[in-house]
Amino acid sequence: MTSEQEWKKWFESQRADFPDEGFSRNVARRLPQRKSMLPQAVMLLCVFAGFALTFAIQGVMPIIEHLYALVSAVSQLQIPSAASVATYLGGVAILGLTGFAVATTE
Amino acid sequence: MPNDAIWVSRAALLGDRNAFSRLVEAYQSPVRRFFFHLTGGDEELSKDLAQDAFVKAWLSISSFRAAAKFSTWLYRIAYNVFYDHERSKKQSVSLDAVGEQIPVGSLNSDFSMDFAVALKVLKDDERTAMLLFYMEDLPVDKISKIMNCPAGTVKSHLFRGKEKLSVYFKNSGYDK
Repeated sequence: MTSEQEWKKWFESQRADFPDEGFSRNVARRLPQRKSMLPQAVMLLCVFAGFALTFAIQGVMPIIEHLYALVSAVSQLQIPSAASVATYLGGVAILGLTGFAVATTE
Repeated sequence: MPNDAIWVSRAALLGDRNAFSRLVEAYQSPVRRFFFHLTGGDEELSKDLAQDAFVKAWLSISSFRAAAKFSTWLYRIAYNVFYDHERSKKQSVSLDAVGEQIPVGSLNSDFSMDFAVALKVLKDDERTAMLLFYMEDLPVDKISKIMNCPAGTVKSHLFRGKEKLSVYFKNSGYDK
């Protein structure tokens, strides 16, 4: 073998693709928890940036007004029946468990 | 791959395992092939080493700098995993020695080349450079980053590798 072309051809003739066959799934299962706080830091930064942007665009007053409206709306709520409270709590529990299951499977 | 940047940034910044799994799916074949040929065709070992390489990549993905291509960075990790494995083996006969011991007559009489046997003639660095250059189509500058050596050294690995294989082919009667 003398030319680059021939070398390339020889190596390429041996080039085979490896089918995944569960390899990626096995790797995903083996991935340990990362100790880095970077993801949390990024999320925190995004939350603060979101607040800052909202304040910068709308100012503080509209937000306070909305919070006031929300609190007064909640305070005017009628106490619902026991059945609807149970339904509500059940719904919250299902949502919470679903969220927990999603978080743990990831 | 054009979508690498998205998956890499999601995995690095948000710790997104699914994003990293996409990268594993995309790169498992070249990384396993690289190990397969480095280990002389040991499929189980190459699978284990590839898993180690991906786990290491996951643990250190925050240190990945976008200046480097993800594949180059991943090959660098794979290269280090292989050399760590070789060092830990602590066997009395190194791969190089095995390569030197392979008798030319061990080839099939019809001169069909055993790729793995032929590659064992090379030293580890020569084999790595040859595989990355000819099989994975990586340029010399990328290989020098992966192997952490100057481009000139990679070129001399390639030159010596070709020379040794040519002699091997000639002695085995394979040379056309």
